[in-house]
Amino acid sequence: MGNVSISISQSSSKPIYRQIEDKVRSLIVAGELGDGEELPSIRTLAQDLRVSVLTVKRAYDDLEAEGFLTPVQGKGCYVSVRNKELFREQRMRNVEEKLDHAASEAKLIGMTLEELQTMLAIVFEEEKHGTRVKG
Amino acid sequence: MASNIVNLIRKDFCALWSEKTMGLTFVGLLVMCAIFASSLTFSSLMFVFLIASSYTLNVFSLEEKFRTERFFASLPVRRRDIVLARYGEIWAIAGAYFVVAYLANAVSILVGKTEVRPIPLGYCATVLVILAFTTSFTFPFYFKLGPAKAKAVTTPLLASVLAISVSILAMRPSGGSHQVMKVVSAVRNSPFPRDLPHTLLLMGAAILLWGVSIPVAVALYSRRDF
Amino acid sequence: MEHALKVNGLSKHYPGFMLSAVSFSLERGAVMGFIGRNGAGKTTTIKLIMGLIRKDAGSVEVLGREMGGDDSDNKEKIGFVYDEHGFYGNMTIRTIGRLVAPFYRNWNQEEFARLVMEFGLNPSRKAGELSRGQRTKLALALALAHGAELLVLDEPTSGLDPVFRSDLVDILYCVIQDERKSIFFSTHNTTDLERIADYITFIEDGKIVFSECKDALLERYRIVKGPRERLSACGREMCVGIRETRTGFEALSASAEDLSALVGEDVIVEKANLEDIMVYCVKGAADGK
Repeated sequence: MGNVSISISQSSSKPIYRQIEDKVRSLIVAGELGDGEELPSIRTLAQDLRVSVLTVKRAYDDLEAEGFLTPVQGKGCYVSVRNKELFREQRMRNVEEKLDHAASEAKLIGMTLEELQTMLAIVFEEEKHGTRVKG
Repeated sequence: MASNIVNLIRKDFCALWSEKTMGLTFVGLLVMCAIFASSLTFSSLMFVFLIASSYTLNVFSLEEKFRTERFFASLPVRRRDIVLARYGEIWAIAGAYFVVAYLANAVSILVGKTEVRPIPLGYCATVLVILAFTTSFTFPFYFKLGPAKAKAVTTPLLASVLAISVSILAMRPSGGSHQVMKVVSAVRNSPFPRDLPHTLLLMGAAILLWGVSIPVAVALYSRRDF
Repeated sequence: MEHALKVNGLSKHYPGFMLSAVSFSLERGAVMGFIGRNGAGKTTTIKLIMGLIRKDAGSVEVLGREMGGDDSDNKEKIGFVYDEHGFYGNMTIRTIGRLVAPFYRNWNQEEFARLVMEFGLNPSRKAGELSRGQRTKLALALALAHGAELLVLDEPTSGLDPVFRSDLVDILYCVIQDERKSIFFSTHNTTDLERIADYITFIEDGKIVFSECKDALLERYRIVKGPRERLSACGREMCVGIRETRTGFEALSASAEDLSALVGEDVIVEKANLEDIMVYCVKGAADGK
């Protein structure tokens, strides 16, 4: 199952089921929850978060309806991104955000576009060959 | 279910035993009284009455003190079984009493005490009637009213029977009218029947008393609100 | 699948108090909080469910089976914890376990021993020496050791400190990991229920005010605060209960957006918790809504 880190706020005005949904969705989009990975069971998550079972169930039902997870009878809930297009779009948006961040950082220290592009090419290659250690 | 009745009896005996002073005193009293049975006197029967009353008072007052009624009524147990268990405890005590009494009796005779006679059936019948009388007039109240309220009725009842017994025991020839004196002496000298017909009559009376009070107690307890 | 607990039209008449037409149901695998003031009828309802008192009318079904007058069979599947614990004071925990065990067909002695240890109880201690919280834990151990599928708790946390209450909720979370088990939990301490309860049933003056999903309840109601002068008659209609002071008003409303629009400026809208809902409902009823 891996280490899934979900925290919710009791005092936030956002309903708890919504918070859970958003957290799980962003974990999937960020890639921390891979395709086919098992999610914590509804009851375990309810216990860990100290919320009611129905609340977690609602969040999982909504995520299932959105196409992010699939329940397997007798086993649990697994990440299974059905709407690949939508998912890819969301992940691309995620990449764009990160690039935006990198670009503003680069501008701050005075890097040029070419320097940035070179850096990106190197990082991309290293990532592809798995030699890069994620810092 | 029979096993539940046995479990309940075990529970009550365990509860009484866990109250060390109560338990030891009661058992001590029972044993002494059973040994005393060989004397076949009126006072030995009086002690039987005391044992029955004290057990009744103890077992119900323990229940009141620790408020256990609601707990046991919530277990998978029928109300009827709870009632039958209480009567069963009295019968178990009677059984223990007879065993010890006859044992002591046999020992005394074997040892050579000539004044000791074997305990006649009439005596046992009288013991049973005393037990039946005590329980039949107190248990229904406990089951209907609960231990706290029932005490108000049963304690005076038992106390008055005790008072009458004591006065029968203590009465001197000079006091009271001649008629009363005749009755009192008769009771004192021969507190139990010596012939079979009267013995059977007494046994029948005991069975009748229980035969009426048990269903009444069951009905009352089944209708009780906790 | 049948309901864990289904109560229909339960009524009981006492001099000075009447429980009338109490109806609600709890599905399997869920937790229901039963809230209400002291004297509202929570304990009476639970006594009726457990068959400790006789009903005047109505029916109780536990795990699909009707609870008859002397229904000992159904009680095999029910675990109960009351606010007053009836244990013989001089009996040890071990003895109590041994005395209760033969009454249940599915008694699990290892489970009982494990629970006693997990709850931090010493089996050799006498019941009379235990603190109130420890006695509640013992009652819970007894209730859980025989494979009960419905747990009925009547004010188990009253008079106990927040640490114990939190411990109890932890224990209940463990219980509901098994989806066949359901919990019915009465309390006037709503903070206990705020987290774990799936459904809330609110009783007031012997009648059920509502019985519904906790999330829906907490989403629907809001506390609206604002200046008194801005609260019109129309606004009052939208409130379940209102508290007016010299500095303004505070009200519980199911239509908070409309109300705050009506009040206009200086309005504050906050989340309502179960305690707020309970208090304002009672207040609203008292004020004659």
